[in-house]
Amino acid sequence: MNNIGAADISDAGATGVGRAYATALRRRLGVLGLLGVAVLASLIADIAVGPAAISPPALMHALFSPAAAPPETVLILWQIRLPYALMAACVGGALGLAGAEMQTVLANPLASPFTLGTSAAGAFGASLAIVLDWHVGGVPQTWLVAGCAFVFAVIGVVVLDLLTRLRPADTGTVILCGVALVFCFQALVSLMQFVASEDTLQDLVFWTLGSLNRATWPAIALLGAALACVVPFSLRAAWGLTVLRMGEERAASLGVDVPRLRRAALLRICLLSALAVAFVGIIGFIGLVAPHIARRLVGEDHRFYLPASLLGGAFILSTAALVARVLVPGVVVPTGIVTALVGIPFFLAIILRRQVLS
Amino acid sequence: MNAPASDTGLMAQNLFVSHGRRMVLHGVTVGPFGPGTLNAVLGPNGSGKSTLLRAMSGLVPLRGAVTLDGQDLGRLRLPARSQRCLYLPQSLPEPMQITVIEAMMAARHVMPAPVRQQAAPSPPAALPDGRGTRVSTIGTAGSTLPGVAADPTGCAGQIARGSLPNGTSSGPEAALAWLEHMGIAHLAMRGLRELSGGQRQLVGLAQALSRRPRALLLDEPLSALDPYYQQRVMDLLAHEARETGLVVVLVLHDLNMALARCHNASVLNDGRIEASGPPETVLTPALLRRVYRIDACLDTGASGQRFLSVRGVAPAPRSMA
Repeated sequence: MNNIGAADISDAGATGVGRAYATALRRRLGVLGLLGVAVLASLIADIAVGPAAISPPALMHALFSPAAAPPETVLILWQIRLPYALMAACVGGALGLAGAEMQTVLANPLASPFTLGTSAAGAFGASLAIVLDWHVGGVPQTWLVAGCAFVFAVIGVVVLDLLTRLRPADTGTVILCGVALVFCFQALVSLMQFVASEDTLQDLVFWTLGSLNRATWPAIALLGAALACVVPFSLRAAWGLTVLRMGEERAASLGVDVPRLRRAALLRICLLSALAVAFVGIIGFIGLVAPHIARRLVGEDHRFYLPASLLGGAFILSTAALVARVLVPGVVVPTGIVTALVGIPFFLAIILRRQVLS
Repeated sequence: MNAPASDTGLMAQNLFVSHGRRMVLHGVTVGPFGPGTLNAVLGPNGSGKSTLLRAMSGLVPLRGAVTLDGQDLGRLRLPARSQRCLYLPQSLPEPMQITVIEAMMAARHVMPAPVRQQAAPSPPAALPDGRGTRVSTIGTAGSTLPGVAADPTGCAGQIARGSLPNGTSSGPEAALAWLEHMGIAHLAMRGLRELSGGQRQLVGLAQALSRRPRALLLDEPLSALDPYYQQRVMDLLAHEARETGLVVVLVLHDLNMALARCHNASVLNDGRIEASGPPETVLTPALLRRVYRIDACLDTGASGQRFLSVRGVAPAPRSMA
């Protein structure tokens, strides 16, 4: 994390303000620590709970000594539960971070990869690759689908950015353009479903429902690597994003290269949301809900807000994934359905609260 | 043909700016505004004042030239340009969930300004009417400003006591020092969204001042402030100008404030400069009638200060029919 300023506090500590600021910093770092612990706890619960009743000691044994553990336990742990749990945390974190950056660069608290069509665009790209059965020599299908989802997610974000720039955009305009994109890409996904063969239709339904069941280690590695690459750049841009949140003209006047900052943020948003949708389909509302919770917990100093949104997203999706498995005994409900059911009331609450405030 | 660029101070030459097909500025030339001076940009609503400041800061495309100390600012990229010539928009900082001290730190962090290059701040140019002297004596007992106390809020004495951090420090103690300088240290740990419009305007001004630019372009910096803080902000700007050679250009609607506190006034009307020079020579009844459509005259107070008396709206010109 870039320059929290904790070292400087001692000098300012002589004053009450210095002490209050140091306390606020400690509190926020504490909140981040608690969120980290919560993510870890939900991850452990995700691994421990499942239809096959495996005791925690057996799981630990299979985790640390797979060669000596029963093969079926090793298979369940390493091929089902661990990928499922880790993918939930990675996708949640990616969508949480992407949502937080999106809300800042589009100056809109209702922005998220799901509500503004990025996820739908990515799903269309992925379904295009599946239905047309594209192959590029030597490239595995998983990566090709992810690449195609990425390209269309970029197109979705760029189109949204252009639409909102054609006319001076207020909050409503951005949302309406995003809703238009959602409908447009959902119609295209439906078209793909219509022309798809029976074999590929099942794959396509997967995109629209959003499910963690197909998590694989290469996909987790790719998403994890993307997160590891993006997070340092996000944190490096934290000050600029904080100033941008104060107003675009103010940021520009204070020397922030706004177009460059915005382009870089949109690229990060594309990368994270496109990879997330490419591997697990459309998971709604995480990118919307996590930033709002992070804002409540640590405020909008992006040094804290971005990591809190990432951890919050990871925690919410991890918990939702757990709920999706225990909701109906013996059946794993697609996680996208669970997040949507929880997210829609939250979405309405934000809109109603904004109307009351205005 | 353009006049030669001034070696000191800020100057805009022959600026043309359009919004779409509508021309907003028609060949505007202002300045040179010398180091340490306060310069008002006046004019009715929609006359192009904000556009002039935004053009000078490089935020809108323009035809023409803006120079600072002889350097063509158009050759600099926007971040580097803002380091020398900083514009403060009229809009207030968004009421976001961030404390004031963090807002200050963020403003100083996005581009740490280097320590001023000039070895010693230039004093304000001595004007024929002694205005330069007036500014330099602000905060002392004997003000040379007729009828107006040099430091009505007692702010300058407070300013002199504290030493301000240079432009490179972006830690909390530097942010706090600037808040103390502005007299709003008590707001340091308050959230921006809890503040009133006036308080947010003060925070925005503190952000701009803390960057220590060479020239500061302020778009209606007093619009949301009560009379106390209006005077206090003007004291601060005068102090900064005097101490550091800062060039201040500010859009004002309060003509008496311009008359009492500024060295120069440039009056814009319909995208053109109507008049420019010392405020008491510029703000003539004829100009006020023509530009603002008000019936007003310059009066002299009991202690010799000059002020504008507005009698009302000027009668509409007779129809030529």
